[in-house]
Amino acid sequence: MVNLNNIFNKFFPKSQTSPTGKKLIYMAWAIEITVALVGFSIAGSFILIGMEETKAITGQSSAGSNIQYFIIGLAFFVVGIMELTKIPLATALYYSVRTFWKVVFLLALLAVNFSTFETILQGFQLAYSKNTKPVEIIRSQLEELKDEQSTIKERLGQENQIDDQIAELRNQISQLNQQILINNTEASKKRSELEMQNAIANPRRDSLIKQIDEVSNRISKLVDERSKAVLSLQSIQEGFFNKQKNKREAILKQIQSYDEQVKKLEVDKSNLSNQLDKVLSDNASQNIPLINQINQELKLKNDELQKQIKNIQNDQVQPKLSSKKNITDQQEALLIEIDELNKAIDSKAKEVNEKARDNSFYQLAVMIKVGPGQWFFDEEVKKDITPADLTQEDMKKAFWLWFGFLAFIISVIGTFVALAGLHLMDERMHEIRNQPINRKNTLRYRIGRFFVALSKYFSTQIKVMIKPKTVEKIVEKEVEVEKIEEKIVYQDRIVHVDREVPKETIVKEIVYVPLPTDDTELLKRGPFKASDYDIKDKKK
Amino acid sequence: MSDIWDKYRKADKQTIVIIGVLILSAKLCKADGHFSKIEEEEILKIVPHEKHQHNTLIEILEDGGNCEKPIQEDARRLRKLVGDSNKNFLEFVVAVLYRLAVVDHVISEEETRDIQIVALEFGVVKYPFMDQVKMIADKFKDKIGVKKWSI
Repeated sequence: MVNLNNIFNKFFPKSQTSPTGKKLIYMAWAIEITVALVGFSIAGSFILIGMEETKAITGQSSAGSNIQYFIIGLAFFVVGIMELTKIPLATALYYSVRTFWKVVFLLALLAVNFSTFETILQGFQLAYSKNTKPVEIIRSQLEELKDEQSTIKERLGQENQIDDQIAELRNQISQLNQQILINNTEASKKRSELEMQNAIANPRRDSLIKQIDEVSNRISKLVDERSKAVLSLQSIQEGFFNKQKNKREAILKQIQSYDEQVKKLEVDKSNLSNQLDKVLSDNASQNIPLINQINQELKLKNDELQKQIKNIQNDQVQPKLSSKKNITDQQEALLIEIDELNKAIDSKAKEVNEKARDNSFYQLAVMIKVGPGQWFFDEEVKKDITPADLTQEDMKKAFWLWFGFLAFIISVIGTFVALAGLHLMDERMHEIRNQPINRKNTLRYRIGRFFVALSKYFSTQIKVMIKPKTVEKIVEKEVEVEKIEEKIVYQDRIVHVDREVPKETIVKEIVYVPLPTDDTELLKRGPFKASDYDIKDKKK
Repeated sequence: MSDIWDKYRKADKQTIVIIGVLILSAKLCKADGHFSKIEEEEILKIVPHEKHQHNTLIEILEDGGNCEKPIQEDARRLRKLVGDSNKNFLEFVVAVLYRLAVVDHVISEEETRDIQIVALEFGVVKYPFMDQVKMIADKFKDKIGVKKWSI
């Protein structure tokens, strides 16, 4: 049977995709209308709830008191209408040619999509609060009990905290004492430095010290020489005939003069010492005001530090010690209270689990905490999680992960479906599709080539990585080597045989070459005789 | 001679649609008396095909050209097959017929008539040419002093 389907598809390609595109557009409209209905419903619910609340408070439903709810409701009504502009905006974006208009329509489309996201989220929020309300009431009671328990535990744990704080305060006091000590040493150091500086600065003192040293040296020299003279006096040997009277007298005189000189020098030295003492005492009298100032400063500083120490002792350490005593006294009562709270928490947790068993959202929150919570948020889940173990933070996370993601998809899917429909209905798409793809100057081709090259590179890299590496090792093995016994090989005798070498010989041959001629003279020489045709003709 | 539509009745819908287009093209080209080689080439140019389908197409064109039934009937069948929802396709076929009509640089009366018939049958134009003229005449009936048309 003849089949011309391919001809039909090429003849009018739009016919192939256009119906699908149309269907997609209808679907996009269905989505948008539904979203718009959500907006209208929220608007209606705001108005109705507002009216009911006003009636409950005032007892009458006047238009004046309801006006604010009407305004909120109308705002959501506008949002609902705005949803219906999404597909026309997508069409405008698709068919716009100039970049300016493309950007404008894109921004408008993004704004509408954001509004859809908010609307859908509002709807989910309503559903969420409605579904979770019965469980949330019990869960909030459970949270309160847990808070109470943690407060008591904190109070119990305060004893350790107070100990730490007291230790810290004592540490501060010891630091202040240390500071006083440092101040004292610094002051004494300053005083001595001051004295030293003054002493060094006075030149008279130096000269006196020098003079005293010189006198002392001279005294010691004279004492040495005197002792030598005494020794030499003792070494003089006096005999009957050898009278050494003169020499002895001379030495005695010398010793006497030494003694006199030493005495004189001792007097000088004592004079110089007196002078030095006077100079030094003068200097000390000059330093007195400065030293007094240092002492005063030191006293002020130390007084301040002492005051601080006293304050810390009285205002901080003492109250802490007393509060610690109080806690220690109350410890037993607090422990009993904690036990009671534990029991109450257990029973509330059971109640929450019972209520949340049929609530899909709580089950979902538990699943998210156990699954993605561990995978993406670094949460450590050690035990089996129940709805009672969930915190407000967990519930929020679950809400955003589930409903937030869903709201995002719902908000953008209408636009994408509309764009897909428009694309399928577009004739240009078929024209572009039917263009030869082997044009090498297009960006698409270049990008394609780039990815092909990249994939080739990676595939070779992977192959190289997977390929087992061959490592060459030299392994020495003992191989038995057969000993080759030398055998005597008997060779045949070489016999030289003379052979004739063929030589090239030139043989002359006479070749017969026929030479046709009618020359009678020549013919007469040859072996043949030419017949006389002319003569015969003549005879005839 | 058996009907060409009956001959290919078991083919796919898309194939039959193409056959219908070929029949209409062949009949339009033959409306002025002769089916020239240029017209045949033009049809084959419009209908994108593979080499192996060339002979089949020529065969269908010959069958279409030899068919003695009026073009109106073929147009009606094609419209029924395509459906009213695909007006775009029917307009495309009319455009194809117009292209075939002008291929020899002259549109004959017969060709104009046939295109009009097909367009009317497809429902892509509302009134036949004369009806449109009549409407214009109706518009100026009072000014030209006619109370009632004799036909």
